Amino acid sequence: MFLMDDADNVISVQGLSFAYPGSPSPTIEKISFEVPRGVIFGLLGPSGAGKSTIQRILTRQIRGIDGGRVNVFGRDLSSWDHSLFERVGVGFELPNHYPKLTALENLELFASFYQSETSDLTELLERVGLGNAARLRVSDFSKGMQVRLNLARALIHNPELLYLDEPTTGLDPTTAQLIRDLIADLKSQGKTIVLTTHNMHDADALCDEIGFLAKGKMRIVDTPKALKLRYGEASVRVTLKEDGESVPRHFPLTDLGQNSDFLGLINNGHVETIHSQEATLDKVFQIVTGESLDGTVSKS
Amino acid sequence: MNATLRMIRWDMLLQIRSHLYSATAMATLSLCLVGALLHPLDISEKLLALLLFADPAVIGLTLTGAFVLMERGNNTLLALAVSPLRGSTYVFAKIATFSGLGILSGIAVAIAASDGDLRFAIMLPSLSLTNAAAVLFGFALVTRANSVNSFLVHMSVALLIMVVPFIPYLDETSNNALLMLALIPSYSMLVLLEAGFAEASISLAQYLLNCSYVMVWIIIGWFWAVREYQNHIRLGGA
Repeated sequence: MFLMDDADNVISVQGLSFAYPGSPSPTIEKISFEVPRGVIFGLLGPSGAGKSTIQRILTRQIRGIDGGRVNVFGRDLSSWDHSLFERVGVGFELPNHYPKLTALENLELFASFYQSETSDLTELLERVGLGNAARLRVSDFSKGMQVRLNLARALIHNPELLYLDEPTTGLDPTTAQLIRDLIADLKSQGKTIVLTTHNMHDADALCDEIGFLAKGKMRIVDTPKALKLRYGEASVRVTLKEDGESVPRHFPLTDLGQNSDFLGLINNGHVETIHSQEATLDKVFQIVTGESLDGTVSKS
Repeated sequence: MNATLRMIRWDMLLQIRSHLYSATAMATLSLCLVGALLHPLDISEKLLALLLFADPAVIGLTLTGAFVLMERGNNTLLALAVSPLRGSTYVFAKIATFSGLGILSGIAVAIAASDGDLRFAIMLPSLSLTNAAAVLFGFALVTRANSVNSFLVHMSVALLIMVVPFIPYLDETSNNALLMLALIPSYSMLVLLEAGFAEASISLAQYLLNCSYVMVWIIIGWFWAVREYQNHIRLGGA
């Protein structure tokens, strides 16, 4: 866990509860977490867990909350007006552009709203791999291209804080990696990023800290590494080739360097693979929430 | 260039690309043709005002609603919601662009119907006020409509209500109960449009009274539209 004063936190959420009008039960209940400056914080959970609701509250798309306190940049969120978005960028999961305008025109339109200096838009399109499509109308874009344009639009004004909702969903592996690299690059520039996703691979690869959401409640907040170690086995799994068959052996991590069986295998055996047995985030999620990320109840 | 002018420029480009200008040109041409055919019949200014009223009704109500519905359909309103764009800028740009379109169209129809026999100093503010009011009414209709069908139902009811004051407007001997219908703002809009024709017999006091009444509706509509933009339209919900 990151230990910081409230002043170091870009976002501070304490006891946040909200129910949509007419809903018999709260959509999110007593949610608490903090996002320090310069980190990537992942909100993870299956559909309906409350991730999007939290993001909608943080981006002031939902304004009335039922309980709790939300601070952004050290100020109560309700005290911010539209000027908050001079410092915040939002990348939506679903495309939302003007289809009759070109990619560049879409960015120019939104860039015209900002008082702060905006990025070089052509360069921005290059960064998301849309350099060649700058003058194409968005109506001719694939979904993947529109998702990349979403990200470009979120970056127009070089924001300090970014909310990204499922930024790699629906992208081919190459483009997904391009986006992951871009997000990592943004972090290296000191941006604070809140990533909403159900993609454990993205969370593991990008996030400094993650919060698991299930049924509207925050079940745990910690770093991916700490979670994987805490819920994994402190052992290595060695697969040997014996008589043409793969045979697994497990060894405790404690004093592994002095474990004569292990050292013997390394020196003499036909080792195929060696893996440490920390848990995957998927597995940790199942253990902590009793659910899997596709929303089904875990049997383990 | 300030944010409002920039938004007006973008709205105009979007309206052009969405073929709203060509659709308006076609509608205007049709109304001009009707006006030109009626001109030799020497019909009253009241009937000419009715013809002219079709413009804000079509452009203000229909096109504003259709355009906002289109933005909602593309989810672009959600993107606007998380930008620094003010609600007042968004609403003003819509009023400016659609009213501008309505004024140009209205002038063309008025000239065709009267052979240019107009009081331009009266007709221009009349068209400005009637079109601005109509755009705001269009906003009112689209705010709570969550589909094209729902919008069409709302628009049909609104057009029906706006047509009702034609009775006291055309029949000056209407009884007091019917005269109450003149409280519906379309009555005042008709008076303003009629006053723009050179032969009209609207007194200055009558003109100013109806101007004030339409302006009251515009002011109410303005605050209401900005609030509705903040609370409903920009969030993509109805």
